[in-house]
Amino acid sequence: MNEGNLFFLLRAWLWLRRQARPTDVQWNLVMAVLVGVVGAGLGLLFKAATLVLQEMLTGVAGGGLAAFAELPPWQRVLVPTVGGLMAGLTLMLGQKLVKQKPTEYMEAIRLGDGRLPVKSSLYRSFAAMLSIASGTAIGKEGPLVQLSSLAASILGQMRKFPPARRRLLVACGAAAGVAAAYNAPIAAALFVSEITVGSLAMESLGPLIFAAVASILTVHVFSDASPLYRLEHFALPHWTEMICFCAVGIACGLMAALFLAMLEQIKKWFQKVTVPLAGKLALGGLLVGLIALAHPEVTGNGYDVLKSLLHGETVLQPGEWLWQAVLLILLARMVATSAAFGSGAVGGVFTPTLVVGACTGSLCWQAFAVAFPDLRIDQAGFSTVGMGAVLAAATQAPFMSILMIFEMTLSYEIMIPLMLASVIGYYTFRGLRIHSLYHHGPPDAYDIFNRPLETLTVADIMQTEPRTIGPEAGFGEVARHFLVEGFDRQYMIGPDRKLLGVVRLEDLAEHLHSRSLAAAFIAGDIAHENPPALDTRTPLPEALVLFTHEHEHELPVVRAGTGELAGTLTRNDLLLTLAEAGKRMAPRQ
Amino acid sequence: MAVSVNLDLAAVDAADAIRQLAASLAQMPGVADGTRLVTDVLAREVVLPTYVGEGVALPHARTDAVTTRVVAVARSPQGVPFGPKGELAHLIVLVGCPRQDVSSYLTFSRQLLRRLRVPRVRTELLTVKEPAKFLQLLELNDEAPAGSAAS
Repeated sequence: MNEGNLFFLLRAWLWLRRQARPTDVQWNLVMAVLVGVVGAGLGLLFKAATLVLQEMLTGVAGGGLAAFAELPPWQRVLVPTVGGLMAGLTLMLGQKLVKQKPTEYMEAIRLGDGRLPVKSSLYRSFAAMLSIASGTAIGKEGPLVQLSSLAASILGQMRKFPPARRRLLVACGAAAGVAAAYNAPIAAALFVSEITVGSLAMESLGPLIFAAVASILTVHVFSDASPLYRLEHFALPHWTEMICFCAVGIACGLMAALFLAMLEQIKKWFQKVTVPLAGKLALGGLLVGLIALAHPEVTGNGYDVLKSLLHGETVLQPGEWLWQAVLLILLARMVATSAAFGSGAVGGVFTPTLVVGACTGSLCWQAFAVAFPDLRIDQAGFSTVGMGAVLAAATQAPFMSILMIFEMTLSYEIMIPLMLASVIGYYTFRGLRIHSLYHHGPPDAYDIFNRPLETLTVADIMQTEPRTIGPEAGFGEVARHFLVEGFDRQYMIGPDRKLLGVVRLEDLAEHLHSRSLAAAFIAGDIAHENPPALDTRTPLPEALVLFTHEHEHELPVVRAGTGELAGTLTRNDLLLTLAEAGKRMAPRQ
Repeated sequence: MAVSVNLDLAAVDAADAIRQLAASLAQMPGVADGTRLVTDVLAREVVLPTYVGEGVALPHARTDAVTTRVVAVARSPQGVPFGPKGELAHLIVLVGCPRQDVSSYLTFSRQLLRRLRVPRVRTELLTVKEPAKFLQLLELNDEAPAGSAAS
């Protein structure tokens, strides 16, 4: 490319930049799209790998509940047991290599300061894959979310993002994972906003939506992304029927509490068992296998059971669901899932929670159908609303739950009873004062957002590796840097890395096409000397004051004492950090 | 803006030329520190020579020595070695600019250099007799106070 072309390109680029004024907030959107595509790709790979592993373990092709039900009884017991043993051995081996963190359900990512533990995320995902493939009663979507977030975290660390932006990027990874797992991009963005970030502010919601959309589009390219549980016929309920849905909301709130209490209780029982983790997981697998002898429906995440409940046919043989069957499935599912998690298996708990909801809704319908013979709404409607209500209660994230069910069923009419029951379920559960499903234990010590705000300094949250240039660099080189790197500041440093000045794009913007200037001018001619700068030891509130005074969106950071350029800090990163740290300072409910 | 003109500069090298041009500005309004002006322009010249080709040099500096933009233009019939390989400059324009003034500094220098790129303008600059006409060719006459256009 010759100089003339380069300058023309640069002018066009600058014109665009002046019109669009992209800030680091807008760059976050671009990164979010990248994370979305990568996250979806990883999700698809994980799904394919799990299927292959499942075929190896069971010897039956196709996967899913049908495959498992084909197995002879001894294999139904053996496969989850062996799978549990293998998953347990993987976990034990992993723990030897990496320090283990307390088990959490995998959908909920701890964002921290955006540095996810790579090795432990990988071995936990592999252990989850073994558990899932062997039919253990856990959700298979958790590892998808985990891997997608991990990819985002690695990307953020490679790009040397400051903590606040790295954190946002990991949240985008989680949203991409959820979107790919449930074919539900709107709910994915809200899942992460409501549960993980804990805010619906547009600063974070925007990138999350971009990541979710990019992810679902990627899934569309490579596989089928139709709604998981499409609901065909559902008429808007009469107002009298809405009273029934209020009852469903209350029942679901209570059932969610029962399910969570069971998860906790069985975990406590397993903690008393003094065998190695592999033994515990094998025991958990054995329990699931024994229940599966009579009810193979309990294996896996419960996708097939949900489908059949929503289509009104029993899962393995054609026929209507009887209330006894639904109740049995509900109890067996709660015990099996609790046994799996209690034994220490890692995985997701999202779809099992939906099964609990669908069964609860279905049982309510059975009762109402007897009490009110002219009830027009069928079991599918009640099961769907039940799913949403239990989800809203257990996760304590009603917005996400309502939209998740909407996206899974794509039925608009269901929204009205769904909204009603979900909010009632949410408040019923909240009244019981139990920790929600994704409630996090004590936070990680390495997470800088947990340090007291007054101990944080600019060095903790700045972006390292700033764009630098020497004072002798020619005008052409400065211009090229602006073009290639897309920033609007370059920091001029001396041979000792001392900050000498800042070159501002807006000073150069109108003159870039002058070739004569390129011959006669150097960075030193156009840099502002002694620019306002932050010190690495500057406390954050003081940094905010300087930003306000200088009307700058980015300031250089110099090392205390030496005046060496250490990094840069943007106003947005500072605000994100203050918001997050401030939120954690607020008394918890 | 203060402007000085010298249509018959004789200098042995770039540093000599810069000293002479800066000295012609020393008493002008807008120059706070004549010595400093010389030092800063010389220091800048050392980093990267400002010879732009076609017998034209633009020694310049952004400096605290001036409070407004100052310009000294000179013609050297025998030439002053200015380029990195000893190229001779016949038209030399020295620009001193207040430190905070990045954008207008670039605007002004660009206009000047654009005029100096035109071959016809350069030819005329090398032949005209009157300082006023010389400034007019460089489009500097409007900005120059009447009394300062003499050397």
